[in-house]
Amino acid sequence: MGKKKGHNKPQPANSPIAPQAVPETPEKLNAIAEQLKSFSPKKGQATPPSTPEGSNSAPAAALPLATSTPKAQEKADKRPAKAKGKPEDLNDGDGKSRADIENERKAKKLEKQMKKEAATAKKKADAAAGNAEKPPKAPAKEAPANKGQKDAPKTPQQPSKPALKKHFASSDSSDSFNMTANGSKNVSFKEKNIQPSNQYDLTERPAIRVSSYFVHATPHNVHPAFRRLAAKCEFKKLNGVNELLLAFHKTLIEFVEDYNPRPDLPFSESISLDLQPQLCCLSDNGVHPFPQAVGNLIRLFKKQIHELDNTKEICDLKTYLKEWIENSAYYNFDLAEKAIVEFTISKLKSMAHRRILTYSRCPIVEKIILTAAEQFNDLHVYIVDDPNNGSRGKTMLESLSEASIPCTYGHINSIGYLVHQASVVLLGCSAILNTGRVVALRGSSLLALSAQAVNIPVLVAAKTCTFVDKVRLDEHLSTALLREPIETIPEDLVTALVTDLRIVPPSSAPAVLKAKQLGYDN
Amino acid sequence: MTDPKPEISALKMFESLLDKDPEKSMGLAAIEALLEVLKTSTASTVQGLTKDLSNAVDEMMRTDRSSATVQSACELFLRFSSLISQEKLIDANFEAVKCEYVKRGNVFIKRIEKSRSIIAKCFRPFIRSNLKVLTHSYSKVVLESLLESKAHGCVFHVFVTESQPDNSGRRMAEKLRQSGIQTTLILDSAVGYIMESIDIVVFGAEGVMETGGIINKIGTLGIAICAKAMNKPVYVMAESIKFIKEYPLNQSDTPNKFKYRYSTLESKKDALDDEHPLTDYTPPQYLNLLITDLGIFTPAAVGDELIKLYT
Repeated sequence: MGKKKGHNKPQPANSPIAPQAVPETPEKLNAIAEQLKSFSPKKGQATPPSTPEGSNSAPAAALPLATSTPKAQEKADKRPAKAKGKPEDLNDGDGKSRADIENERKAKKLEKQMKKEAATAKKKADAAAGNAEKPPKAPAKEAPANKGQKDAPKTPQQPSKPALKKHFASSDSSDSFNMTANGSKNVSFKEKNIQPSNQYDLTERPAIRVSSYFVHATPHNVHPAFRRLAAKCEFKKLNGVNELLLAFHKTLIEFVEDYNPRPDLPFSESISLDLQPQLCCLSDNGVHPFPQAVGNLIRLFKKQIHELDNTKEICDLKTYLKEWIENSAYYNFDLAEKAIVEFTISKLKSMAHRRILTYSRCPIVEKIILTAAEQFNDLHVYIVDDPNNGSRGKTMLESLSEASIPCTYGHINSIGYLVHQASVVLLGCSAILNTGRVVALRGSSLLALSAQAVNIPVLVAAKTCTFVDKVRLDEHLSTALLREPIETIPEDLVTALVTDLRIVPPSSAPAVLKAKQLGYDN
Repeated sequence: MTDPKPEISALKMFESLLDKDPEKSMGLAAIEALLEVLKTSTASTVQGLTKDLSNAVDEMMRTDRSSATVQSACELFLRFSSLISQEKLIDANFEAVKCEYVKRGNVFIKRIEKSRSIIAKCFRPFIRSNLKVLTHSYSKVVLESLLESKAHGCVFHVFVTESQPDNSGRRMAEKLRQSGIQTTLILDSAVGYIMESIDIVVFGAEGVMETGGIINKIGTLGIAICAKAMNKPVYVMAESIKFIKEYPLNQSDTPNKFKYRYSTLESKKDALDDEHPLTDYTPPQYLNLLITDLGIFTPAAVGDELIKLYT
């Protein structure tokens, strides 16, 4: 799932790799050793050994802290850190351009400064290597106390969010989001010649090796709009894929608006490079995949970026991108919903008794019912709800009752009774897979199954932007941003998918995918 | 042939074509009538032409002949003919455009004329010797396919249901006997009894829906369900002009114009509950394969084919 974001998954976050068992090739360690040799040893550190075993023994004498394995860890950490171009790392021959590294150095510099303020005085005293180790390891979202812990990328997200926002609020006010090389402040490099830490904090030592493609999300990488989006989702202000998609569109527009490209790269490359940390921040570096529809949007956005004509003016390009996002929002929300509502109502028209059974709250289904109520008098809605999952059906119940539509509300236990009363089942979905399987809120498949048992049709309102080219989904993995539990409904339980193109049988999902890909390639 | 009122001419043409050759496919007759209208139309713009054609279609729909077939055939014909490439349209000379339409119409008709024989050829591998085939009502496509298989030397036994209320199964049985195929006429109610000794079930169709299900003579659904319960394969033979752009969810969702004759709909608009429907809708889960002139499809693939046809 991390492939979408264009970077490899990090090493499995939860696999317990023994601290000693970091496999380093001797050549790499030699390189590190050579580099270390050039540093002025501060704490009486002996010449760094060239093998992991050697490393275990030699510093043991030199370091105040007795454990030897962290030394290997540090080396291991240094290696990937180098690849990211730590500010203090003088070895910049790792494939990145000088300018890139300079940018990142400056970014890291500023981040480091902040972290230093929050760090203990002891680390400040260590100055050199200790500080150098800490900042690159931690994704910026982690609270300062959790800095070095790579092994629990999930946990930092939840508790530290409010703390995080506070933490970054101060930095936000100081400088606007600006990635230019010139915009950063000049910070004096005290730690130019770093060396591996002789005294470091155990809590900050990451337990596993960090992948070299790990992209750090620092407050200077990540636009505040994305962090706001993440916070909104965290606090359950955005319910469901629809609202999330809409908010995501707005976030992307803000991002493009504020974006200033790097001077040395063409616009499209620059913006795609800088889009990565944003997405990494939201999805925790691919550990949590994005919800399918959001992933679609991101992929198409990246495609648009890729196809940009870099010879044009930057403001033209930005306007083009913004227009594209706005169009996408318009087509997928205003127009698509209208079309789906129309199609469903044409189906409802031919029914003798309009008794609709629905599950929880889907905004499209709500729209359908509200529009249908204007046309038909004999509408009756049965709302099934799951009290364990937020009882969003109650919101639906309120809005429908306000429109004077007769409703019946029941919990999922009463599905056996309610399904006999209804004549059609109307469900929302968050994605449609290639085979026609429907990805929906947990509990929807119960409605579909019961409907099949009593022989009533099941209609699923699916926007074409939610069709994905996947065959199966890891349902037990929670997605980034949206933490609602989902499940898949088998395609033989669904009578029809009402899309904005036409009403299709679930087996025609690949045809819709083909059609829409062409549609986006305008 | 100048006609101040092309609509009447279309209907007359349609009827006369069918009277001349009762074996002709109804869809084909409808299309040929439309082509005549196209040729003799006095319109001078594309819009006028389209209007004439749609009037002709409406007129033909107001007959008691199967309207599902007529409607789908006409719509496909219109779409096909008007699918002229942009370069030819730029020429702006209306006569040239009309010629293009007529040309494409002829191409379409030639293709459709062959559709029955293509289906018959596709069906041949399904017939082995000493096979017991069950079929329902009188379908010209099924008849032609069975005759072709017999002509190629297959020996098989056909069971035909009587298919009340119009007893059309009897006509089918006679035709089959005339060509030397061993045929048995059975009661509609005897399908459950005979199903265990049947090998394959074959239907024609009056219309193929977007779901992959079919509209056929009343009684088809019952036979299909029985066949599924006893694991007998069900094959449907339908020409591509019978593909309809409708998506029925169940029996009551099927449009009334497919279920009742036009005269019934007109005279008993409000009291249709007392009328016996002439057709029923068989959902795709009871069908195994659809044999068409575009190929042999599973019901699921029909939706895709329809999209291709109609775009």
